[in-house]
Amino acid sequence: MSFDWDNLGPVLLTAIGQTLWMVVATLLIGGFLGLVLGILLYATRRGGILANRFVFTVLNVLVNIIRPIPFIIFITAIGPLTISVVGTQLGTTAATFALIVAATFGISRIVEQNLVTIDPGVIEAARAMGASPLRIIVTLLVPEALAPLILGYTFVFVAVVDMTAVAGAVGGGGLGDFAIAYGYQRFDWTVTAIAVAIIIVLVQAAQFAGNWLARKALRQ
Amino acid sequence: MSDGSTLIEFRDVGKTFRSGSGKDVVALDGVDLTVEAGEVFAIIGYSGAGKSTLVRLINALEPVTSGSVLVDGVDLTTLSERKLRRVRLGIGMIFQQFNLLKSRTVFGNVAYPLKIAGWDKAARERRVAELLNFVGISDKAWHYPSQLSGGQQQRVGIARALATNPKILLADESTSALDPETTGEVLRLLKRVNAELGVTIVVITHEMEVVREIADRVAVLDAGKVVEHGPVAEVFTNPKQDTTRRFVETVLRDQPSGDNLARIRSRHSGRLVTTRVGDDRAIGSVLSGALGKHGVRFEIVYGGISELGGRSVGGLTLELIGEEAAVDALVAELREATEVEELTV
Repeated sequence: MSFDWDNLGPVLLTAIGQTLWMVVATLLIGGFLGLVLGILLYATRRGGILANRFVFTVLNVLVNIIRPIPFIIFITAIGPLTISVVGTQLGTTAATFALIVAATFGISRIVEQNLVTIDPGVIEAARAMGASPLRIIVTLLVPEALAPLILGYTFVFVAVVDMTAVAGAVGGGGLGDFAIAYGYQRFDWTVTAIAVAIIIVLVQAAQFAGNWLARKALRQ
Repeated sequence: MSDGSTLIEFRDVGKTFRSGSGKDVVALDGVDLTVEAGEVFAIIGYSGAGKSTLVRLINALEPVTSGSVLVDGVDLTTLSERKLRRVRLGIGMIFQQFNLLKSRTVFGNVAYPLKIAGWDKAARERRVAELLNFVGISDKAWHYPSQLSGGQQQRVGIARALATNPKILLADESTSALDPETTGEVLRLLKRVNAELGVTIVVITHEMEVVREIADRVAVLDAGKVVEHGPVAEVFTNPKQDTTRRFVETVLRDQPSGDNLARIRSRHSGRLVTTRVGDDRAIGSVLSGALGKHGVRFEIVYGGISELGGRSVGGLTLELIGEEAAVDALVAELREATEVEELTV
């Protein structure tokens, strides 16, 4: 069985575009929010530069509640919130909203874990120089943990590509949806194989770029 | 070097850490100390004595639980965190593990506190070049800390700590991670910082060598309390506390004890006395008359002389051989010249 380019080509292109759009938007917005949330988790913990038991407990519990929910359930359960923010709970934008929220909480833990590896002595040295908490966060925490953070975000990229496959459940489209709708449900293994191959190329490229960037950041 | 004016003052300072399990740990208790402008002040103690906590009160990295800490006449306990950050700009600090930023070059590390202090780029570049020249690592400006040896990293630490022209430099076990030779180099550099730049230095250490090498005055800390303090030579030539005595013994083999004493006793049957020797103790003159005047022979069986706080100090253990009354007379004459301790096994 060969691939029907004339009919499926444009659908495939649209699917690729949807996946890329969902992944990039999630990584940019969820990546930033996750970074902020992760830094807050790290800074407000006991002995942290902004130690605050109340804030830490609230954030920590929130992350622990949201993170373990399987994404296929999360994307539907968050429906009411999606409707109030996006206006609909169906389509690519709605799926992206759910992706961003889920990724924010997932990324926050990865960021927090990477920041914990920074030598507390270096932070103390900066405090001794009169640095404010905000300055420490921006000019010390992030640069010192940059290499592991890049690897962490590379890991997240792969996880987000995985999550986008579920977007089809709310009519979000994307490569996962394409593989299910045109490959699996039509018993067309060629279509499935093409979708899988594109995802593999995407993931490999991201992993390669992430490793390269992390090595550059580690040059010291 | 000290001009006698008080720069740092601890007034009845207490510090208690509340541990997670609800048990309180008393780190410091009733500490009264003054550090004078221009001196090198050492705080010596074993690990857990509270030294690191004490030094962190000077730049308020840790708040006191009770009492007050005054730096340059300002009571730190009354200042807001924002104001404390300004105070910290005037206090440099170096660390046992150097604590350099791994993601920045030597230049970047030394420029970091200047950025915090708001220096412009041209002024930062000039100052960093000047500092790297002072500590002798100008050729390493574009290296990363991981490419440097421990001694070089501590030089960067010192340059960084001095960047904003602080009046005070806090050295927290700054040579403990270095080999003896490098330790000597770093201590000589600190001496220059004190002598040439007039920076008051507070050194935290558990090594007697460090105190001997650079300190003018010393405080001995034991279980959160200052058990002895004063000029280095005074405190260590006449140690009153066991802790102090044990520190002295690490650099000065002045008095045999335990196995050493038993071994000496097994070889020498005469009377054993330990005499303190030092700059103003003319025991040589007394001993030169021992045979002629008292008919007592002597043998030197143990001891040594070392330098502490710019003075010669030490102890010699002598075996005195002769008539009992004659030995008594010699001991009495020695006592007029110095302290004498009879050793019995």
